[in-house]
Amino acid sequence: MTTTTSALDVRGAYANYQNADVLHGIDLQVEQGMVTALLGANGAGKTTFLRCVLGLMAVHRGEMSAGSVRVLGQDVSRASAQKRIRAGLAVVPEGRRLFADLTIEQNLRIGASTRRDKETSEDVEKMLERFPALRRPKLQAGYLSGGEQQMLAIGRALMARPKILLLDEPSLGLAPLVVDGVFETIASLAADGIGILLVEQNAERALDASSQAVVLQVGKVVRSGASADLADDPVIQESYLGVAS
Amino acid sequence: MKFEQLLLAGIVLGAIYGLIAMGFAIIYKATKIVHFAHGAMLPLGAYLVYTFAVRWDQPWVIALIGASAICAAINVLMQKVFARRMMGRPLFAAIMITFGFEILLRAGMNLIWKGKERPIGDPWGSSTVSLGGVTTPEASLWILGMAAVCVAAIFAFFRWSNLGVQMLGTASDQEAALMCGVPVQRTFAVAWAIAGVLAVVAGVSASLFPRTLGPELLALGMRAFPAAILGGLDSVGGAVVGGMIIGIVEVMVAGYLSESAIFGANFSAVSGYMIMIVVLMVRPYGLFGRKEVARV
Repeated sequence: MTTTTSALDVRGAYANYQNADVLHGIDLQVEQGMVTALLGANGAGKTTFLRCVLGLMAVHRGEMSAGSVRVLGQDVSRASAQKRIRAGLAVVPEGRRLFADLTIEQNLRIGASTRRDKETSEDVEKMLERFPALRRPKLQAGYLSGGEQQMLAIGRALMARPKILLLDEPSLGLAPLVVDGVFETIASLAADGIGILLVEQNAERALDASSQAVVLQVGKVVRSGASADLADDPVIQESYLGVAS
Repeated sequence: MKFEQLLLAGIVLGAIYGLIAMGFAIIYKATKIVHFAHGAMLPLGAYLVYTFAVRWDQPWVIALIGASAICAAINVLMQKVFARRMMGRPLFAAIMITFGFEILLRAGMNLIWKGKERPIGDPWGSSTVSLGGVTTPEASLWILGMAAVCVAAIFAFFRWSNLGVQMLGTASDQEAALMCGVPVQRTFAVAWAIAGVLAVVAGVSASLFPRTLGPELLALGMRAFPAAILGGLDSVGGAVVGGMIIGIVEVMVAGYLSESAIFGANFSAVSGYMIMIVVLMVRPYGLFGRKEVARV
């Protein structure tokens, strides 16, 4: 076992909901400034894995029964979601999960909930600057278009000043041109030094955007390695990229 | 002149109802629980103020702060010990639990204060002021003042404080709030604590004017409940508006219709419920409520 220098280091994660076992020993690392893609079909356990990383299994009457989660070397396996976010995590949830009846600004402020410093307002300004779609801070989030909402969800996560960003299906339901924008944003965040875990159904885009990839199938890792190698793997091509063998 | 007199009395009663309804609304908004013991917190708060101010001879401000602290603490305790376990359970079970709290509080008050009427010992006594020809007890102005301060404080809390915004976020999507690192349990506790303080202010106000402090204050919570429903159970602003409407209507009905042969003398007591029913037929989620609010 190597010494852990990864930004996010998950080892041997087992998880279940009541009596249904969902994850069977998942290992996954995310390096700073790199994008790791987590691929798999519906029901493979991708979202459950993210819940394990964030410490939200109990909300769904489940638990991570074994394994460890380390954030920047700090063991957070038993910590609350709040402590994990404070340790350096942030998530852009599937379906964005914005607070639709709150304003853009309020959504961003809630993203900074775990921070104790006084620079939240400056960071709100920075987000409005960074994402032109958000320049109407008093607008209710529910009135934004899908792509704008995705940018707000990313901005809200960045308000926690994360070192590792988890993105759950960020391209889902968005027009191709908008998806381009999302992937550009992901690349620029990685360039800023943030480690990114990208959970995607769109395997082609995800492999293209990532350096490492892990493929889940019914709760087990069936492939992992450099994204470029996986993209050439005939099994992956057939199952996830729609390439006939 | 009678109209102005009644209007002022209605506004004062409406302010009291609004304070009570805000308590129902903030708890419902934050935790989706209808807190039926909220009404019992009114006499409790008032009895505590009496104990501090009259029995222990403390200044009124100290009495208010002391009673508020105790009622906030009792509410937080209820939230932590019982209500928290009821989250996500059937609404019916949660309602039954809060009824249980109500019985407990009532029994406790009977034990301590023997269910007697007490003088609340207000500093304004029976002095009156004249407002544009309408003579009113000075206390009624203080009630309006206290209500205005509470409303302003709560709006400022939701508008500017981090915890207030976090509370709104939690009310909108609890899991998303958790994913943002919002201290969700703290927002619950603070909502209940605020309702406890509101109950003290409302209970004291109701003991000043038009009633006296006694066990019949228990009924006032249920009189104010239509105000919360009318405004939309999850709308704190709607609670204030609903309170005003019900308060003014009740006083007007009592003033103009009490001699009517058709309605009879006590029609005012149900007039609030009548309005509530009519409004709910048109807008099932209240004047300012969100559409998905559950039926109670």
